[in-house]
Amino acid sequence: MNKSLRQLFIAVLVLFLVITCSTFFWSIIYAPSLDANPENTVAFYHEVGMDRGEILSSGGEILAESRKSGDTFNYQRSYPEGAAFAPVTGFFSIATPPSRGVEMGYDKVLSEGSGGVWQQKFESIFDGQEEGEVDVETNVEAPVQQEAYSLLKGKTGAVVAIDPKTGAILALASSPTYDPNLLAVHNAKEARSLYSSYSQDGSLTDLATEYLLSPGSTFNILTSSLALQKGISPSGQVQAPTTFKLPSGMVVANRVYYPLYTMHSQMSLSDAFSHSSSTAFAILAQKFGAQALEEEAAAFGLGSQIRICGGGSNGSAMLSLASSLGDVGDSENLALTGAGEGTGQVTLLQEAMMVGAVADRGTVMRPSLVKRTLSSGLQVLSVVPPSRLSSPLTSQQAQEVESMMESLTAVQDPSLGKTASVMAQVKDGSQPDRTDAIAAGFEPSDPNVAVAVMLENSNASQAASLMGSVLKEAEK
Amino acid sequence: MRHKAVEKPKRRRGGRIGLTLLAILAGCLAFASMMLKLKGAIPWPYLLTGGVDCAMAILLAILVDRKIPASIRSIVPVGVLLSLVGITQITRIDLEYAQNGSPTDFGLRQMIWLAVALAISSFVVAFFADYRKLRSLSYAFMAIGLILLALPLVPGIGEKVNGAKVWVKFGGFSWQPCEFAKLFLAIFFASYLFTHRDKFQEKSKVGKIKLPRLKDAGPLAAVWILVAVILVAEGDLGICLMFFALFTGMVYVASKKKIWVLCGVAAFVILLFACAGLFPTFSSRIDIWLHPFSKQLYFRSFGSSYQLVQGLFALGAGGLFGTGFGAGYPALTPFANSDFIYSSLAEQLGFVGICLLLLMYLCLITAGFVIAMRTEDGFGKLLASGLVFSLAFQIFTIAGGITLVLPLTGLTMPFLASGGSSLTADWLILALLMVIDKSPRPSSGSEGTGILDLSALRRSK
Repeated sequence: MNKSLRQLFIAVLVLFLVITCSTFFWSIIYAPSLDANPENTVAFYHEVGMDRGEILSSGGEILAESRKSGDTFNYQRSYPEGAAFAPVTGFFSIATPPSRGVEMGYDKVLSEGSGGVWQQKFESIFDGQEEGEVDVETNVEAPVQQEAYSLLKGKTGAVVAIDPKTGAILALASSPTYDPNLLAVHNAKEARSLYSSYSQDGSLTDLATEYLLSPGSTFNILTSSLALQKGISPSGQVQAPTTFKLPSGMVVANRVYYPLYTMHSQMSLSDAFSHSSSTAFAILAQKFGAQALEEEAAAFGLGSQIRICGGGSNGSAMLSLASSLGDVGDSENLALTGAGEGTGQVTLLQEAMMVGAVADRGTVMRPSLVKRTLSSGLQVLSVVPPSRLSSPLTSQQAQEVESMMESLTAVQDPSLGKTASVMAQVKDGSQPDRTDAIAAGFEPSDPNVAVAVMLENSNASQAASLMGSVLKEAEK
Repeated sequence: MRHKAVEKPKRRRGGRIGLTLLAILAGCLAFASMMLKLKGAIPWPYLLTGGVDCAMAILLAILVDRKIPASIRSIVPVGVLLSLVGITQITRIDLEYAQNGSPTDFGLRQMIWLAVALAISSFVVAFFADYRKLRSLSYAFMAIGLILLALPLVPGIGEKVNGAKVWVKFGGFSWQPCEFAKLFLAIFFASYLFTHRDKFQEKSKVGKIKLPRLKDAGPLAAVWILVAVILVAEGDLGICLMFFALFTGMVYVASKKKIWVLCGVAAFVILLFACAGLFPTFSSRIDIWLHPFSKQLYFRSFGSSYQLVQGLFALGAGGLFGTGFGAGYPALTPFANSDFIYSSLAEQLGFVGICLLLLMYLCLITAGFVIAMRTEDGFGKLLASGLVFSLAFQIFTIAGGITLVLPLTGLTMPFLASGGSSLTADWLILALLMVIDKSPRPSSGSEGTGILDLSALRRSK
């Protein structure tokens, strides 16, 4: 029997050799690929325990930092400005790998520092020192962001401020929001339950970039730009009857009272714009056709997701939802879209980009949340250069739209002074008895800031006054 | 390799007890440094039960020294060290659960179970004079083994954990009767095969293929099939595989006929495919084995590859040297202290630590084979080889399941994994092996009492 016993023993040795090799494969050879797997919470937990770079405002205020903690994780992520900057910073929680804001978009930069994780681990064996972490400086102007957030408090809405010349995002505020500090706690159970309740009640959603609204008459910027390109001057007459009946029997009606409506069935393009005449723009849209309108929309940036920061080797890109015209192939919907009552949906960021194009002489710049990355010695490591998305208008046309926007302010909300603006009150698709308000504009005397505001369950004048306050703060 | 007629073997008392003390020292150092790092202090229940464990381990070593001085000296120390490493890891995972807000006390329970297991082993070593008496009761053992195996199927006391119904709940605590059923059935098989050994070497021809005679194989095959049916009904193919390994290994040693091994493997493969076709649980296990990283399988709510993949992540996080006890996040993998203790240990101790653990296992297994080879008694030979081979195969099945060599099974890592019944059964196997070592040896064989006497493994003449 000993012969077969010996053979059995050799079989056991072979089996042990097999599991040693397979363990070697996963522990050593395949470990880097496992580490890079996005579902790898084990590697992520190791990342939680590492020092992470800071997130800074444009003025150098600290928005997120890692402090030494006494527990197993070594470092605690903290957000000195708390909820006010939540849409900008995102959060770093044990509950989920980074999924929002700069924490996500620049995750790799913040966590890995100037070298890779593996390189760092390897080097620290020899010199015992950790590689200096990399800080990320955003374009956000802390006072503007604070002002926007405090004005939004208690309301449901969002504010975006951009620099039209560079695309820099100066403020990105949303309300209601969340305190990233609460999600950063090291008690996994607490963090997870808070994360799931925030996910469910929508607190995590950034209403400026992740919420689609019906554009209402703010859409007139797009249709009038097209009109200018088609050779209609601001003083050129367009048809603007009091009501306009669609083939299905649906009626488009002008909402704002204008004495000329009753007497004439036409008015100047500028008057139609400043009085937000629904019929005029419905008829114009139908006249230009779906293809022309779609091309113009694409030139303003509609139809694709907007990258706000990150991507590539920095981390997963932070993206806004894509704004769209809806189905304009249907001629009835085409007319309604022109009137701002169609199926088209835009983000607030897209509104700011449209207004920004007017302020920047017809050029749309790519929005950008991050300015540059810095080493711990404040040495600039990389800069995010301004980048042009498209030029939907000529400089001349942009100036014409600008003056139409100024006259709109004079007609609809004279308290704003010489601001160039668009504003709208739109029905919320899901709750017909509720109206949401949008206002977007800039000061022609200082076209370095464009602001867009959205307020749920509110009216246009409230949104406009909020916009005015943010503009004032930004111009300081 | 002829030895002179050897005088009475030298009694080297110090060796076994000294090695046991060394194992205790190493285990306690690991436990204490882990505890002090994570908690800053060792709470008194741990000190108390730990003290009892150490005392019981020393007692066992002394008893073995007195009663079976010629037995292999590495068995008790290695068993103790493995158990203490297991306790350290289980307690470490308890502390992480506590940090996540749901404290558990598996570590403390495991310590209590270790004391129980060591006490039972000590009892067996001290009072079990002649294991050969077991042969006279072999059919009773078969009945007890089958009843124990079927116990979880009894409504009311059977418990379903993780898809398989292999647990029994008695009063306050649950245990896995199959661990003990394995021991009883191993005794029956060894006894049956020993009695009918000669007949097994005859064969009948069917065409050109030589087959064992049905008359001899009949009763064995009947029990075999019964075991398979019970385990399939309980939904645990892993334990089924372990039993097949136990039987096949034993039959091979008894008959020297490879055809038996082929029969066993063929029967298991047929069973596997039949089950995969019949029960969705089994086919989903195969799916996640073949495509562990598929997003669809990872995120599905039932039978997902989440645990398997988390285990691999832990392996990768451990790398070469591991994070060390107390660092890292081993509790992220579900069942990190039982089914997946292999991967959580790989995270803590790294590939090097895993190799050391595998070497310790190999040490026990080699000792088992040496005992099987040098005992003259055929029953003891068969029993020892069956038990030790099933132990080795169990380790291979778990580690292979976690590292994707085989589909995942629900077996537990001997000595390391959290669970009182398996710890007790594993120690009982060690005690039985040492008792078998008491039986007479061939005079020309090895008499050494070395730490691990390998001379028996050499080809004689």
